[in-house]
Amino acid sequence: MTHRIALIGAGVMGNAIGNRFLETGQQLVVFDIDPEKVAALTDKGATSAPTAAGASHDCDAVILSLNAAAICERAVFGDAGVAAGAAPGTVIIDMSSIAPDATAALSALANDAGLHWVDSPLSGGAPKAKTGELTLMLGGDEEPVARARAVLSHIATNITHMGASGAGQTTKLINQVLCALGFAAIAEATKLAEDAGIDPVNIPKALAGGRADSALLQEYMPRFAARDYRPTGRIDNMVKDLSGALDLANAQGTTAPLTALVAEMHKHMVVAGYADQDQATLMEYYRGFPRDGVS
Amino acid sequence: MLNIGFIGLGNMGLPMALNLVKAGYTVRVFDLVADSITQAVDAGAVAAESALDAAAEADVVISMLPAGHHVRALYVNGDAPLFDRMKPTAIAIDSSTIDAKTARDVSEAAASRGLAFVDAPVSGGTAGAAAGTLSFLCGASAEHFNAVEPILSVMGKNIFHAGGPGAGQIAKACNNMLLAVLMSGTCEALNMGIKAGLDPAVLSDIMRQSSGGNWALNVYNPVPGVMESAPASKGYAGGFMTDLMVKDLGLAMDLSQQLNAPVPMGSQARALFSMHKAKGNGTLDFSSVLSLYQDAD
Repeated sequence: MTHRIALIGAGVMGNAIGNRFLETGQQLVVFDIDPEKVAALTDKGATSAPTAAGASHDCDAVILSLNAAAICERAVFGDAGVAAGAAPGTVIIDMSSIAPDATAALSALANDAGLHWVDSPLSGGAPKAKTGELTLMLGGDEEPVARARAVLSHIATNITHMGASGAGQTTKLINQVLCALGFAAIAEATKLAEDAGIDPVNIPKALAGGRADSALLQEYMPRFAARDYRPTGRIDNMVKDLSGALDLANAQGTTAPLTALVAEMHKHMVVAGYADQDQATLMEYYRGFPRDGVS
Repeated sequence: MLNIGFIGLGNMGLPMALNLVKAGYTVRVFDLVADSITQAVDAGAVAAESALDAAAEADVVISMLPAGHHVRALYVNGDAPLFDRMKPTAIAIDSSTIDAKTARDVSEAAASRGLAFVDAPVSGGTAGAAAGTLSFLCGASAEHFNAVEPILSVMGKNIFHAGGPGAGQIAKACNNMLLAVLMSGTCEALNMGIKAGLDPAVLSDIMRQSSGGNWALNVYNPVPGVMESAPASKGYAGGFMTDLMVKDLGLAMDLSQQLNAPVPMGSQARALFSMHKAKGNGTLDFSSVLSLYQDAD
């Protein structure tokens, strides 16, 4: 089935998502405040709209791919925003990563405006979006979630409805905790192996199928060992995500000593000048951030 | 003599207000708990009908409230914001422990109306409040600091000018984060020595006179029986509640996030104190965190 989809926000993620929709034959209407980002998708067959409201007419769904809750709010409920153009009952699918409580508030505003809000943060990044293999965690009511799922099936292979509005964003924070603590554990183990005279390159193969085996181990220990610092993520984004996880933990009264410690490691990295570097540079933490830069 | 309006008569606010009464000031008091007002009136304060009634004719307004949103509502955006009705020459002093950003915002709101606002959180606990020996950590211009110093001296002994608006709250967050780190460090060192068979009083005396000496060990010993006057020797009653330490550590962690200032020790202390709170010890003095380190019975 062909869907007509509005895409608000055409940054790195939005571009990858938009490209995949076009490749699978969907109709795509794009809005972004940056004309160059819009052009990157209209060149591939998307149409553009001068406002978010204009993009949101007659669509099966409106997808947001933005950076912060305040930007989502402005894009939907601000002047010439999505709410001013979308037909009653339209599903807004928010693929941004924002706080669960902010999502619940935006969802309530959408309901007041006769619209539906489904939070759908993602795991897998731009590479998995391009191949249609994203992992998505959804929050919202059953009926709009079912409609969102039909649209999202073009870009994702693992779509799970986690619960009420905000549950997808909460699951994303839990994913970030698992990733960050996993990265740190593997970086530390890599250094421990190196200092003990064991070549860490051999460890993923040696431990394959054992209890310590994981996708993270297989992907990252070789990268840590090779000091492969190609940009696939950013240290400062991890600080933001872990801060969000700690806010959640604190609000609930959950004790989270490991998350706290790993958040501080990442903050140390930002202070040492690694804010825009890939998480593989965690190896530099174990070298005490030499002033001559990355090894 | 100046008229004072005092809002918030909790464990800290009530003894602070009473010291102003004792010094001869006319103090109009308000609290949501009527019994607190009665206690203040019995000691010579004047009952107010509302926060606005306490503040409208005051030369100095002092507030002592639980959290930032209470302070913002009281002065700026609540049902009856005091800044809309205070005398143009009045000064507001907020002694609540809140986040620095709210303190700065409220200070700006005051300035835009030509009013003065000083953040002046306290250190010294309920005992210091009763004895009039609190430390006040003030954030304000030099002019406003000089204006409030005499009043604060009635309730406190050390009146610090930490810096501009919000600086008092920042100083408070730094101090209490350090206190949490020192207390948890003191507990783990004492517990290890005691577990190895040392006498807690002897070990405390050795460390107190050695390089491990610190406030938590020297004057607030967490082991029952070592120091008669410490909360530990009174069933961890009174003193500074674990709940409040967890709150203050939350403010410190928020600040560290805003600044990207690494606080690995502070964040571990928060994890320890929040675990201690989760186990049901929120109303005990924070030195009871010692129990986290001890063997289960």
